[in-house]
Amino acid sequence: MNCAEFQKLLPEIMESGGSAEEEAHLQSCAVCSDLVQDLRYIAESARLLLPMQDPSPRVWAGIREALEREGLVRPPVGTARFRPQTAARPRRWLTGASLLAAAALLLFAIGVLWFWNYAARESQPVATASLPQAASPAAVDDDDARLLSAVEQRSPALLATYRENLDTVNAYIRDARHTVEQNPYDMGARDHLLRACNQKALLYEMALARSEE
Amino acid sequence: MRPEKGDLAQARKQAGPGLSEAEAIDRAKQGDAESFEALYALHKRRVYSLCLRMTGNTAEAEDLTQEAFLQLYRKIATFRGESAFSTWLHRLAVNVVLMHLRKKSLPEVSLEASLEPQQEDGPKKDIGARDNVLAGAIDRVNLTRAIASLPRGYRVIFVLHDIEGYEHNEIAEMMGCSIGNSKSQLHKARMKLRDILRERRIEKAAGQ
Repeated sequence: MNCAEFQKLLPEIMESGGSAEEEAHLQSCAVCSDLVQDLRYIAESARLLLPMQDPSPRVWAGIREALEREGLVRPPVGTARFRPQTAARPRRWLTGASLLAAAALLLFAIGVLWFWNYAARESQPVATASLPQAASPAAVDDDDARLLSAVEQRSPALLATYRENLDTVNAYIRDARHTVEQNPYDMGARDHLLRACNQKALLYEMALARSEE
Repeated sequence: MRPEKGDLAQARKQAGPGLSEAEAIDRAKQGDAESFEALYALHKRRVYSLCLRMTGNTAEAEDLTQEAFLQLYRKIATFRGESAFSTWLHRLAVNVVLMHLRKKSLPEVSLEASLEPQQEDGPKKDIGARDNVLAGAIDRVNLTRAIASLPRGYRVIFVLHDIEGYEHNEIAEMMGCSIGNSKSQLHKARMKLRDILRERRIEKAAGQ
């Protein structure tokens, strides 16, 4: 089997594996092996992409207007008012230390914004060491550890989920931060970093929301 | 379709203080305005991200997000809980986007054919050349940009399968194509992404 024949069968091989002959070619051919490795890596990386953006407020405004126009809504019943949010508030989890953690994360996000504005004003790219000390990655990692420790104590069933989400969003922040450091004037990368920081702040907010009874 | 990612499953089932998602759905069926808004807040990000990734256009994505939720609210009385609400909504959103793409194409051309990229937009046919592997060299920013720059047909299949987790039989049913064609298009999409990412890596290395 040559490379052309093997690569012609790749769509099926990627989905359901190859025959013995196809596997033998893969083992012996560095070109096809690299190709398969790349394609698998792309697919696996895509799997880890998170939904990162919210629509503008005009979307809800349009929906609400249409709902009212079509007569699909009526005034709310009962006395319970609630704010649309993504987390419940069943019990207290965290203490004042968690507020400090959230504040540290907010400072990190603010520090990122300061970094962008500083880089935009200067003619030369800013070195990574110029990021404010008050919001260093090490401080953020300590906050994550405290958050996970608190989650483990109060709701162990959610620990794995929180850990997975933190790992994913931290990876996002690392990637975006690296891109910004390489290309300080790349507004898209900066925007991505800010969204990643917002995503992490949302995680902390959800955990903090459980601190109210 | 894989379960919702990046999602604290238990927390997301809460639409507000003391209100579960199931309760919000029941209230929305009765026309409760705040329940509509709560369900929107819970699911807007995922729906919008799906629309944006499939269309590559912010304005289109917002219009389609609005349409998806409106269709949801019009049909919510028919939701009986056989599947997860998020799954139901997600499938509805995908159909809204695909319907939109169908309308944009010529009526005599199938959706599948209308999404087929031109040959010059397809992946390179470079069988024998070897290059450094991509593993470890892709960050999420560049991958997101590369996906956004894919020809539309490739982007739709790639988003549905590799990002959103639909199986080929599901994609084939939604797109009105064969399973074999879904696999073929996905493969071309990944090959095209590989080309894009390698080119960007070369450009970046040349610029340093």
